[in-house]
Amino acid sequence: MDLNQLINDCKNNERKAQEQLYRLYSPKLFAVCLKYSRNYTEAQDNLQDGFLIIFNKIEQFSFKGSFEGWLKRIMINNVLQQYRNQTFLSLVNEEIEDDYEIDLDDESISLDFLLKIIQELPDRYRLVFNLYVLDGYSHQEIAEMLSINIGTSKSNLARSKMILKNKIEQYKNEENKTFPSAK
Amino acid sequence: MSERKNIDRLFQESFKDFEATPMETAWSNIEAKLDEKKKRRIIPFWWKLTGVAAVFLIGLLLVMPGLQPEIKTKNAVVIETNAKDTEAPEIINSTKKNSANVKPVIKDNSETLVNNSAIKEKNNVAEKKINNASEEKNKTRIVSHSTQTKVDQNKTKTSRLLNERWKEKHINNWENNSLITEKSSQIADSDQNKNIIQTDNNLTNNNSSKINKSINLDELKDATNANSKIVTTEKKVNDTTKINGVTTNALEELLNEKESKTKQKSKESRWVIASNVTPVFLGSVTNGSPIDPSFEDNSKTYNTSFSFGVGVCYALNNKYSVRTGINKMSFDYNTNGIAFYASIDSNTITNISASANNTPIIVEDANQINNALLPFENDLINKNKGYLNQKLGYYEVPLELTYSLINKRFGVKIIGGISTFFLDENSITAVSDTFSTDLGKANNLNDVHFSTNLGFGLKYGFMKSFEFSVEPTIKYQLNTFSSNSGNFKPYVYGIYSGISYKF
Repeated sequence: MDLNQLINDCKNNERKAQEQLYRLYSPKLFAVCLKYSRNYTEAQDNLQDGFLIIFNKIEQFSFKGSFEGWLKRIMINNVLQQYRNQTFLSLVNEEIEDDYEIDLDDESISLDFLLKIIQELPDRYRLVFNLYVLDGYSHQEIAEMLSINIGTSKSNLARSKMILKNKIEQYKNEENKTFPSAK
Repeated sequence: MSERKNIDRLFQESFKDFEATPMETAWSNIEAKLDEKKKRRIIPFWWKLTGVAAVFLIGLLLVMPGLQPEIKTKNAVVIETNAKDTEAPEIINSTKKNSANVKPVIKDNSETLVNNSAIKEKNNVAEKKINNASEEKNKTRIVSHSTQTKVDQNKTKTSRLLNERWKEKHINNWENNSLITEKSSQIADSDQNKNIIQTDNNLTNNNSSKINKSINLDELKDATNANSKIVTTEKKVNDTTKINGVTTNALEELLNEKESKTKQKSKESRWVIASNVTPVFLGSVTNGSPIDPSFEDNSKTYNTSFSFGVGVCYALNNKYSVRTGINKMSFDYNTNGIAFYASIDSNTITNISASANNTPIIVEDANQINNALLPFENDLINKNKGYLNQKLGYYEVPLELTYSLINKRFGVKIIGGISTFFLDENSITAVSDTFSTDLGKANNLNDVHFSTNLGFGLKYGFMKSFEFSVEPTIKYQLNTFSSNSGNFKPYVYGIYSGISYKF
């Protein structure tokens, strides 16, 4: 079925089309939710809320640009909205200018672990890291989206990377300890 | 083997094609919520209305002064605070104090009595008097018992004072008595003295009064008086314990009295004089014409005019008030799309009696072709196209009843009543672009007619006794026209706004 046709059917509130759209995009969008949320349950809640918004707003989609990008933006905004309602974003805007590169030994690390440590990041670090590293937003954009300073966004990113790096290294050390022969 | 790698790239590469299938329940949840939304679409329409209704009702309930439960709770609070907070602890204190204070006093009393008697008396009479004194001691004990049960602090204080006085007097009395008995022992029997002391009340009747000196008698009387006083105070105290519940009622009554007084004060200002200036909009329920049936279809333009007047209002009670006054009101309207021209013929308009010096003027509907004339004749006659302006002026005397929904600083009321209209101005003018001419008077207007009024008033009090009010009122005219109203049913809509003074 043609995507445009599917979108139009969704605009007409056809349940079948809506379900098809869901089946088509939920894996990618759920991945987004997983990255941005604290845990699996929260991700699922965000996915549901996000899809409701999508079906509500699909009329506004004017076939300009990528539909997937549009869906993703809605999903991200929905998650951000959850955190905007909380007060954590109004916390002190710290500014540490240490945007240095963090390198790691190249080893295959399970995606599950990486996802886990992302989810374990403090809320804002997680959002900034996701937005910047995984979804390619600029610091300028992130600052606007989260109503923080660009400097704060940068320092948050640096800190989140530090935390992630430490966790990965710790994980590796433990792995080496438990399976020394694996090295 | 390991190559140094940027953490960014590690994550980017890992999550590049990251996809995750959510649990199957996710879709069913979404579907359920989508269904819910469809159903909800009908609800908000009612929801909003019920919201408005609820706000309106709550507002009414809050503001309605006749709401009973509020007043009841207020009273209950008054009783509670009186009974528990103020009196109860004092009662306990006073009774404790009394029981502590009174007993030693009595002991002292009896001891001094005994001492006195021991020193001053050595005969039998004296012994009997000691007995007597112990009797009296018993009496005071009874009193002290009763004081223990006493409730009112003040009353117990007075009884304590009385006790002390009584004690003093008895000591004196005792001393005197002993002196008397010393003398009386020489004169009279000890039995007689017994009688004197044992039966205090009969003492005055006793023969010993003749024997004893008048001073003694007086003092004995004092003593009996003091006794009786104690008894009465006792009774009073007992009464107060009984009445205690009733005293709160008395307080309530006081409160009620105060309230009623304040109410009466507010009721005092029953009279209100008011002035008003009113934009008046004339309208008709139907599109008739009272001037001539031929103009029935012509469009009418109703002009906004003004009414002004004064009024007086008398408050029957908190809710209702009657009012009357006098307003000067005039209104006019235009009948559009007419043509008029001078003619030798007499006026064809049915309901206009032409003014005497006017040259006859023919007025007709511009849209209707006058078949009496040939086309070229029509051209010859200089017809003026324009409109007819009918002006009506009245003195209005309203008689209205108002009912206050809210009667605070801000008030809302409903107004209903009738008005009597006395015709004052009556003219019909034909107006064209270039000139206008007076056609005369309408001959179908009643000199006196009535209207039914229904209005809605808002007021706002400022300063002490001034109020500003706005009262949109509709006045449906009943019998403006004596005959042939041409299906013209006028009403007047006025926004009566003005300032009133309460006194």
